[in-house]
Amino acid sequence: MKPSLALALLAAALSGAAAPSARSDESPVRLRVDCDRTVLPSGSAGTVIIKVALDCLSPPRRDRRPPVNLALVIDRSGSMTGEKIAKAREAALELVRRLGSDDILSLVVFDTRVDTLVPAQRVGPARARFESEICGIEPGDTTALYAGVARGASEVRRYIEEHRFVHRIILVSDGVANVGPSTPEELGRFGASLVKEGISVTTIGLGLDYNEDLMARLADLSDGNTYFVENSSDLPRIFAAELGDVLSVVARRVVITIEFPEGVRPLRFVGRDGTIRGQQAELTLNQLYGGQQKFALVEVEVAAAKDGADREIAKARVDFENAASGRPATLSASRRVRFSADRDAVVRSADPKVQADYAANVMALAKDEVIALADAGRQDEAAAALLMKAQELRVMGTTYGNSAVLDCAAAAAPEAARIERQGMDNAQRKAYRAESSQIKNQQASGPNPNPGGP
Amino acid sequence: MSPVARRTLAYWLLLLVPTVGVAAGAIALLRREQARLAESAASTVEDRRAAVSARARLVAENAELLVGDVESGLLDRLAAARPGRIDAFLDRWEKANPLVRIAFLCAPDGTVLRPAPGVSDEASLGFLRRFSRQLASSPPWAKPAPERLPAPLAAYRKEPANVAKVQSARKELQMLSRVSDFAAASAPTAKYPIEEPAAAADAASPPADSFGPYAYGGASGGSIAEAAPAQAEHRGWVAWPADGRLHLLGWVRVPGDDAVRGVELEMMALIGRLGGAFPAETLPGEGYVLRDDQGRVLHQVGSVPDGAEPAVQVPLSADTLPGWEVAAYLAADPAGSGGLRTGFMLVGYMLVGILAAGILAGGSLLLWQARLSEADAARKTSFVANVSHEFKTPLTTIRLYSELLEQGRVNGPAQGSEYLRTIGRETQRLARLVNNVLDFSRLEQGRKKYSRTALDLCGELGRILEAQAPRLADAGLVLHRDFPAAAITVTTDRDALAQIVLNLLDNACKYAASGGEITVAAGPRPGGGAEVRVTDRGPGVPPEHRERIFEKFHRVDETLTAERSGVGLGLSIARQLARGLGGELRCEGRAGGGAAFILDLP
Repeated sequence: MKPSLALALLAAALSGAAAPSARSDESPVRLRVDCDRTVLPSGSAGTVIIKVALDCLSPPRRDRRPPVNLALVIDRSGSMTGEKIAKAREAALELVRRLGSDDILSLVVFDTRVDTLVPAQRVGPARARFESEICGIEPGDTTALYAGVARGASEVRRYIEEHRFVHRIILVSDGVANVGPSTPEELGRFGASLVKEGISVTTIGLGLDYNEDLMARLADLSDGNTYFVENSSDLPRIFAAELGDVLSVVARRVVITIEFPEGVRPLRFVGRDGTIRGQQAELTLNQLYGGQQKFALVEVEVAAAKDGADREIAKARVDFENAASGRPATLSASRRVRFSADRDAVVRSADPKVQADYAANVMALAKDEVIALADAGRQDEAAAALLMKAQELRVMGTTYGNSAVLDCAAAAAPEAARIERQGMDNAQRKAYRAESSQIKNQQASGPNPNPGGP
Repeated sequence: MSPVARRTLAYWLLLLVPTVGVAAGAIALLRREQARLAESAASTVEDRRAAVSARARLVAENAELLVGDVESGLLDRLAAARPGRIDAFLDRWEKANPLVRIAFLCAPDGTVLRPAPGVSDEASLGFLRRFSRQLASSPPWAKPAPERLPAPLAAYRKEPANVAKVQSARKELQMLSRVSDFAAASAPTAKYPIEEPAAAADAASPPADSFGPYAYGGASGGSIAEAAPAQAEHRGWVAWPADGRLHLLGWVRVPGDDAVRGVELEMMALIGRLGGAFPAETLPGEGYVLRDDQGRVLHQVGSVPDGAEPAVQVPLSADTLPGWEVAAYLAADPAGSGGLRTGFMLVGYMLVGILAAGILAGGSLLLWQARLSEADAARKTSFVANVSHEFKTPLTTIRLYSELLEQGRVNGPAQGSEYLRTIGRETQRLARLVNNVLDFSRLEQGRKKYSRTALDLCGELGRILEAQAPRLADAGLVLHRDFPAAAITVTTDRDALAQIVLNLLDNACKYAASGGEITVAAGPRPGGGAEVRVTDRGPGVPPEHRERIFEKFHRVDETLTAERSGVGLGLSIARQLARGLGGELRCEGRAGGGAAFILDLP
């Protein structure tokens, strides 16, 4: 994609001209509870997929968007030499130009040591300083990734009390963290602790040497985006896409609570990491972006019911803060299902969109499993696992005549064959990890756009 | 030893001894300076080491303080929750507080009540896997926990530059440890919402945000408060290793509540904030590292060289984080002052060496010049004496015969003629002497001019020998000529050639008269030009003198009282003339005794 196109997209995201704008008194978020089928077969217990979707109506107009509090954390380890650092500089400069005067930015670079090149401050009066510091970034030594993110977080915290801001860290790295905590699990926990403060970390992995597990986990658990950039010339586009997301935040600190009545037992979240306690499932998101849909898929077991019965299957509530007004808001919705002995009625009631989302998430999870098996050198099992999931989806797609699900299943066969034949190379592993993460989190922006997303 | 050599030695010693003395003095001073520099460098290193060590201790103390603040803040928060709503509180707390990894409840016997064994989320499952067995087998509240006190205030006073940073880190952590509600955290009114403290009737603990007995900083603004330790509660922290990492678990037993409330600290959130304990700026060559019990680097500032041994290691308190330590590194010579010192000494030694060598070389040059001048003067004196002596002999003879003629003491006209011939001969000899001295003077000044003309060598030699025949006969020498029949034409200066041959004949008369014969030969040379050989049967020239006889004033026997008189100029002049003509004059030994002088002409 050419930079000009990226800029056009960004401009569209900023202005919101492409979509009808939300009125000030209107909630920017719509809550919907859907099921994969609204008619269930009577007489036997079965599993149902419940989708709690948050549709964000439109990106806020530029003058109404909340200001952002951004920390740009750039890896300047020795491996960033050459085009990578040059492109990172170029992308960062573009980012500085796109930010508004009231936005907060801080610039942190790290190798063995961490340096705050520019502490958090308003972009307006310091634009020239940001640009000159960015131009002066030169590659150095090893990779203290954790300390770099921690410093970025401490810069963001300087303005964390100002609640109108969208807090975000953008991490650009091409290496393997080798100073400080450096396992995916540790960085994931760090991300999870940051999101409790309202800070999300977007991770941009450059080249083929970075630790994708670590980068994906850090982003997943802090509700940030993750990108895999094999070719550093894509960096400016990725930055534009990421900034498009950050600048279109419509809601923050989102807590989705789903109550299930007696007879409906929540089994698991599909894709996202939520908490299930008894008859209640809960999921937290740090922010919602305008023009996008975020959802949670929960697999539940529904007890048997008689033909013709009609009952509520789930009741969802979402609490969030309206990013534009800063006011807390609550929405609720519920879903009822009917039971029927008529098999055709069951098939006709299928919601193809929910099934497609479910299929995409099942495949994303399967890819995580495939990575784990391939890492263990068990390519045969990896391919078999992928094929098995594909087979399950094919049965579903055929039963309900859902072409999206069938497509999703069909794509798995050649990939399984390739993994069985060649194993999984570095680039493919990174692409799988990033794709899986993007699908599970419904990340709209990125080089591998979410096929199941809006 | 000759007086001259003795004098030279004396001069040398006079020069050498003070020079060596000055050089030795300078080197001694340089060494003293070097020792002083090394000493000051060593004391600087020692000072730096002490400063680094003090700073490392301070970092460790600050880290302990930060951890202590977090721990007491979290437990205060936990203790303040109302027993009846504890589950809901823990749910919200876990979601909202970045420092809380897991909030748990236990029965007094150590059985874990929350997270419930049936939960499905990853974090809870991990907690149960790590600690449920250990809690059940040895609940930490079963044994009395040592009460931990905050570090003394003095720790802050040591490093004023870092006080603000540590204070702000402590303040932030103290605030953060009380956060308890995620959704409400976005309310614009408060950064970290704090749940209303439990009513006094429900819990015997003081309000969570009460100010304790320690207050640091100025009276106005930003004072840091230490929450008062609750009196009626039983609380404590344990550090348990699991999965190769250290985990901090805190617990509190509130009177009136059966369940023990506990919290697992989120180390990942804590480690990032421990950076607040480290100095914001380090001096060049200094580095500080926080390591965990496995030796992994958790935080690092300044320069830490690979594989270097730390200058000092300060373990954190075993109560707080057992096995963790702060290590400080100090580069041996950050500014390269050692290299600077060596360079300074090297330049110093070189300058002293150059000075001594200059004095000795200059003195020696002067001495040598003086000796040359002295020898020159001696030779000139000897030359004047010799020339005077040479002049005196013919003058005496001339005066004697002229007086005899004047007084008429002549027996017949034949004797008169004889006397006049003698006077004429002596006059010619005097003229030759004067010519030689004049030639020598011209040659010395480089004013000698040659007028080259083509001439027949044999004819010219014949004429010279004809004129000199009587003198040779008088000296008792038989002259042999050995000339080729064909004429040899050379282009040369007639007078110079005559002077050379005359000097060679003179030389033969003086030194080879005993041989009784002299041969003058001429012939063409194979490579062009001509050759004149004057050979005699005299005593010959010893080989070591064959070159030196051509030096001016040189005579094989130099004493004035030598058997033969002479000034030592004849052969020197002859060679200079030969070279001036573009030829050469050399001396060789002759088979059968005698000397051969060979004149090459171009």
